[in-house]
Formats: sequence, C-alpha cells, structure tokens
Amino acid sequence: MPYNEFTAETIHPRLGLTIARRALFPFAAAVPAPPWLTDILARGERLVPARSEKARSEVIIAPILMAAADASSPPLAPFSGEQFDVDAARGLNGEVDHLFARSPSATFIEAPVLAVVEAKKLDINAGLGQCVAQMEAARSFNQKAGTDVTVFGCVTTGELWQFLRHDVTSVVLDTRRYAVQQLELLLGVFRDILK
Amino acid sequence: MAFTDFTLENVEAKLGVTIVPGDLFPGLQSASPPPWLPPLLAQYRAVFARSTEKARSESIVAPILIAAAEAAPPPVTVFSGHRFDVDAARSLVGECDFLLARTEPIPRVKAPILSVIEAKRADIDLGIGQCVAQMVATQEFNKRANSPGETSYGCVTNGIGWQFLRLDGILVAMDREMFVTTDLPRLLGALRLTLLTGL
Repeated sequence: MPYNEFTAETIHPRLGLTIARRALFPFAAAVPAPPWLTDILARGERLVPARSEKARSEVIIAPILMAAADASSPPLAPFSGEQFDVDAARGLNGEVDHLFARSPSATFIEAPVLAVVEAKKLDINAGLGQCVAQMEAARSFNQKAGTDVTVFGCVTTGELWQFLRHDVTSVVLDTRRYAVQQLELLLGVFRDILK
Repeated sequence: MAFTDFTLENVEAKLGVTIVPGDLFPGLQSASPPPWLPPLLAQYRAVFARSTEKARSESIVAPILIAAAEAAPPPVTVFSGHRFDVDAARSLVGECDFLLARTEPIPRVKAPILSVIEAKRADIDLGIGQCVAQMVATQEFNKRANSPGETSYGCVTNGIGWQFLRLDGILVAMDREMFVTTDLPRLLGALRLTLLTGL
C-alpha cells in the first residue's frame, strides 16, 4: 500500500498518529521574492492554463519551492518526482511530488529530510492522508540515519498551501492556509521550516 | 492503445507515415533569450536535483517553452499535461506532455502546432514514436477544424538535446541537427520558426 492509498481517516489506525490543529507559524515574517520567481509566475499565469497537476507544478509550485530552497542557508536540494521507499511493510513507499533534503550531492536523497510537499489538482483535503504518510516516512528515514529533526509537510493546489508538522505522536495541521498571492509570507513560512 | 504505446519501430506501419531525415530550419536565425530566462535556468541548475522526468520538465523544458510562447506573435498557449483525445480507433488518444497552440489560454485545445515530448529514461529515440503519433493527431485535429495548414511540428527532449520533427502530409522529416539547451539562442530560434510556420 503506497502513500497515495492513505486517507485522513486511515492515518490513525495505520500509523498510530493523532491529528491536531494549531497555528504553526504565528511569527512568520515576509521574505522578498526574487525577480526570477515573480517573472516566471507572471508568465505562467499568462501563457499556461494551469489545469493539470503537471502544469501547476511547473508554473507555480516548483518555482516557489526553488526560491524557498535557495533562500535557506545552507541551501537545500529540492527533489521532484523521486521514488522514496522507506518501509514497504507499513505502506511507506512510492513517489513523492516534492521533497527537501540536506543532500550535498543533490543527486540522491540523504538524511535529514526536512519537508515533503504534495501537489493536488483541486482538493487539499484529498491530499492530507498521503502527505502525513510521507512525513512519517521522512521521520523514519531520518531516524534510521541517526538524525532527529522536525519534519514538515505541505499540501498545495498551487493557489492554496496547507502546512503540517510532525510532532512525534501527532500531526499538527496549521489553522491557516496561505494563498499564493501572499507569496512573501509563504516564503517566510518556508524559511522557518527549512532553517 | 494510446500515444505512449507508439514506438519508432511501429509508428510508420500503424499510422501510414514515412520518416525521413531532413533540414527543418535552413537559414535559421538565433533568437535572444528573454532577460528572465538565463538567471532562472542558472538558479534551477544550481540547486535543483534533476534526476527525474518531472524535475527536468519543471526546471528546463517548461521555462524554455514559456519563453518561446512569449516571444511568438500572440496568441500562443502552452498546454501541459492536457488530455488530447483525437481518434480512438487509431489510438490517437492520451495526455500530451506539452502542446503549444495558437489560441487564447483557456483550457480547451484549439489550433495545436507543436507537441513536445519529455523523453522517457532520458532516451530521445524512445520518444520519437509517441511524438509522431501526436503530430498525426494534431494534423487530424486541425483538418477536422477546417484549418488551412497541413504542417505540424514535434520535438522530443531529454532536457539536454532537442530533436525536432515536422509532418507534411504523410511525410515526417526528422531534423539532422540536434539542438541543445546550452545553445539557447539557436534553440529559441528553432522554436520560433515552428510557432511561425506550423498549422
């Protein structure tokens, strides 16, 4: 059973995690968007009808994640579409849309994995279970490598961004969802996550 | 069967086309990249792990196609991951990686010109059959729409090389020159010509 078969309802019975809801980033501050990012976002909006998940990833999500990775220090490798097989017995295997790891090589995923991002075409709620399963996999992957960091997750349609945090026995959903129009604040949240 | 099932070996027999080598862009003029593109590609190259097809489409192919669409006389739209079901009886159905069309950016395909395929396993030859099938579908689509033109273009890329093809009638010309991402002005020049002369 790979990541995409998890739902919000199966998280607790299958992974033993409870789900809570709290404000995750009350102190996030705006981070200026680099010009190349606003350039590509504006052109994507004008020339690409962002209907498919693929189109959304290309003209909204990947560029934002790239800017987030670049703003973190030391810079992180954002992976895209990688296979991330951690524990098949628990269903923690499959492809992850986007993943941030501190991988110096930027060619294969090395611990620690700091965050996973799941892209959904329409409905954020439909991606929550899958995202939590990927966060659990990242945590397990990090532990096996002897690193212990807080793992974050995000489900996004491109327009809306819902963040989550793995708190060992529970997963906390941010009470707030960010819109892509709040770009600088969104980059601020990523800076908090990736530091 | 769908676009992805066509191969270089079966596409001629299945669709009644002939593939020949050709010079697609004689007297090609280079086109300057827009100021935003080189820094963006450099940025992506510096930090992005680009080992998957998805990563290559996000970090190389999509930005370059957007630049080409932006430079062409409007309207040109880049459809990405769009369904393009034209003729199920001939297996001309499925999703297109990219389809550039002379139309306003609303989510229905009209006047398609250029199909761009991301090569599977980074092997350009593996994408040729699928590309030819999509070019035939494009031709058929435009014929049904009573469009005057008969020329459709295709391109297969692995993010490094770009192999262009052109369909006229039943003849597929495969360009003798392989364009490369590292020579952006020539690549953008070729893309510009496809968008000017296709349809």
